[in-house]
Amino acid sequence: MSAESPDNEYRVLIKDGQIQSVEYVSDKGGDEVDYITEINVDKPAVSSDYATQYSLAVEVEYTPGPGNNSEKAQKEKPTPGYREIHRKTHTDLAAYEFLVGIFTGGQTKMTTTVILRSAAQKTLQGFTKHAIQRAIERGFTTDNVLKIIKEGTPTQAIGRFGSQTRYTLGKNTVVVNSQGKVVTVYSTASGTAKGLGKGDFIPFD
Amino acid sequence: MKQMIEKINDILTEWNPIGVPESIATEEYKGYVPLILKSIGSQKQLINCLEYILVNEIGVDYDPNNEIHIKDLQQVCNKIMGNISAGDLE
Repeated sequence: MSAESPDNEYRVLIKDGQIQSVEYVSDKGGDEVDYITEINVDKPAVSSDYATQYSLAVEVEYTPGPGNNSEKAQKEKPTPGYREIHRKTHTDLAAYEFLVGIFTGGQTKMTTTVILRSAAQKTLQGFTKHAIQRAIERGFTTDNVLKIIKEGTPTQAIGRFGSQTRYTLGKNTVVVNSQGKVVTVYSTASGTAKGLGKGDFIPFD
Repeated sequence: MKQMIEKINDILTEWNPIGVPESIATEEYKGYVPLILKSIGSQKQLINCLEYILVNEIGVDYDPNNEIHIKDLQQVCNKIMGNISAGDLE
């Protein structure tokens, strides 16, 4: 890391209201906290909105497959606030596996997978009425929304009424409120001159 | 009446309680205009209606005890009431 680089882990470039790139800058914060600098080129460079700094607690998912926690992998495919770690087991899960193992003769792997899946599902608490309407109008399926939340880039934002997390994958965005409920969904689709199709789901590449 | 609907939608677009991009905001809150039109009889009725939309429909973290939130809602209410003229409702 050069002396000129900001003392953060990620630098997010925003243009035309959308995330253009996410750059891994340093390993400050380790697997506990990610420090993020958002550069919004839509705002004047002299304004306070141009660069925003915030931090995210890192969510660690323990996977049975190859991990993505090496510095190289983080640089190639950075995802602020998220790590996949292979062959490590959370203390609580390790204890659970131990207890289940006693009664199952060591058949604990399937149980662990089920627990991890249900833990991931708990992150999303549902949809508000508004979100359901927008999802129907704009052609977002539940699977689309889950994929965007799971694989998209999260950005923490303070809205007019509380904090939100915005997940962006490709040209689609899902906004989630502080209770974990989806509030709205939209894309960058500009639609027709009369506005038809504006914000409609754009298929993933 | 058409003018009134457009005026209310413009106010909701500018208010933009979720904070979606401006181009999306023009369509985001259109569905609430009929509900607002039914509540423009009094300020209190309109405030209740806007609170209902924020809490029960959109699902943002509106806090009725937060002075900034209350002030924000009051301003939107005033804008809507201030933009109504008898001719608009005909």
